[in-house]
Amino acid sequence: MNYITVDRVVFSYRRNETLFDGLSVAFSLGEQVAIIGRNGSGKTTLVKLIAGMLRPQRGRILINNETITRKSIAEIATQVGFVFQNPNFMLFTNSVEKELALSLQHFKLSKQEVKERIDETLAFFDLTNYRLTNPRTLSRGEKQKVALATVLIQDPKAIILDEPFSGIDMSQKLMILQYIQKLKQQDKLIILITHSLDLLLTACTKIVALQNGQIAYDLPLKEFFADLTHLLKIGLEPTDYLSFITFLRKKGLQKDAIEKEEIIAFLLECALK
Amino acid sequence: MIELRNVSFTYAGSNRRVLQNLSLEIARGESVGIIGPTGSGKSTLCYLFNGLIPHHFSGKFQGEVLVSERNVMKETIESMSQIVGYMLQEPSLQIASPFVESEITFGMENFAVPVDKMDKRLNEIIAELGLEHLRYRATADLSEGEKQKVVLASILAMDPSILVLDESSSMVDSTSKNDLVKILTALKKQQRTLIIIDHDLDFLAKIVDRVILINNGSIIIDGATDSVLTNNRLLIKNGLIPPIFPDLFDIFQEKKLLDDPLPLSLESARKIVQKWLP
Repeated sequence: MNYITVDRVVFSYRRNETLFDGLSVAFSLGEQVAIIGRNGSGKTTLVKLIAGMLRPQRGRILINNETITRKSIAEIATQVGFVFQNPNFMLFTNSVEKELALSLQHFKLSKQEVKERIDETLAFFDLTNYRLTNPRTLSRGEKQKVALATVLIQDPKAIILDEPFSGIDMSQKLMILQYIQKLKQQDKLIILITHSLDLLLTACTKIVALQNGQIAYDLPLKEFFADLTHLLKIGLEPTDYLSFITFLRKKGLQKDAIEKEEIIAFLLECALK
Repeated sequence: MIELRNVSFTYAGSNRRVLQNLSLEIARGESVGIIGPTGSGKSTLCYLFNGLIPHHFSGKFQGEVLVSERNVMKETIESMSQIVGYMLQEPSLQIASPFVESEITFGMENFAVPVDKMDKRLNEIIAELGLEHLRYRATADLSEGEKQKVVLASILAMDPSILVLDESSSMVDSTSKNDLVKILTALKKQQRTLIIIDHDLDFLAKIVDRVILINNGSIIIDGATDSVLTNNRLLIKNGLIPPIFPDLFDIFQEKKLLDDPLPLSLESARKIVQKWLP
């Protein structure tokens, strides 16, 4: 069943320049969706509309079958968590623990419940040792992790991550990716915006591709990447990794093999022939 | 072009030396990638090149920095900015004008470039970076990736002989990233000095000839791109993940199934497979 429904939404930033002219798309719980597209194709605008930070000029957005028209951003945030591109915009206090407690202040929980939730979240993100650390002193990747924790402690059914991988090194990217994988097991809906095509291959199961404010593709991930012309049609050039896979397909690699382990296994076969 | 002699730096209010007795030389026209894990001192190192350290960031500074034969200590950030174009990690911090066009001419205006010359340069740069579609837009409405391109345009408009890019590929889409490779390769041919900090080692591999790995404020290795970026053990030891192809083919070298050196580019990876399966 659809958890988020975007129904014939019309939106523009400026007069005479419509970005979305009746955009419709739906997301279900348990899905890990990557929204991809060129810079300026409307990815961030779409998720800001879902989070109530922008409001459609026409059309409607439903979360759990209720329209969000009259809901505040804070109300929506309890259902759909939002992790911003820049974690610095999400951190306000002088300890990781306070940061997490701040996220729970609207929930009318007892002190004991707050403590339990914080303990649980710290453990999930391997942040127990950072409980009293000032988030400002952490590296960008660690800040990103704390930002993600402040969203997840509210236990939203859906979570939106807007470019969580920018400005951090690959090992920290993989760490963030690990937590996304861990969330998969909780039947949440994850919506990920990223330009790192190679990274979303392991994180997601579905691709929503935007082009000039329209949904160009809405496909299972493997189906989308089985044919690289899909990417080219939305104006994105394949990464070297994807180009290499295309080359290997001509050598007999199966169409749905895209993960690193699958590629290495195929290369091993080639080398031993 | 750039010379660092025994440079150490500690930010005010901290007791950790971010740079430790660092010395290095970069010649005119060289293209250098600076890599290292988050917090290793990469950005701090680059703040030295245009005088942001010591003139903007206060702290304990030791050593000497010469850029284009000028002692950075004795210069101002303004005078250095005519030589060194610096692109920060977050484009929003660098945008000063409400519109794209005025943003691109902002720096030139500050240095009183004549109007006809300025217009000519504006048109050139817009064509070079393919920004026609953004030309009359408001900067506040741009996506992060678009902002990054506009900032690059405003820096290039100043015609700097040294260009420092700090994580400038992190928010652009894959096509724009390839465009950026082309633009930077062209700048390299013009004998401009390029210094690029980037977490995307595959991106760096396509542009720079030399890579400096730093960790804990010291240089770990400084060498040719091919040798540093295929040194998987050293990269991993310093908290980095090797580029895609060295990573994919690592196991083949370990199992002695690979006579060639580890491939770094798509082309060399293909060649290896071609040999296996002609």
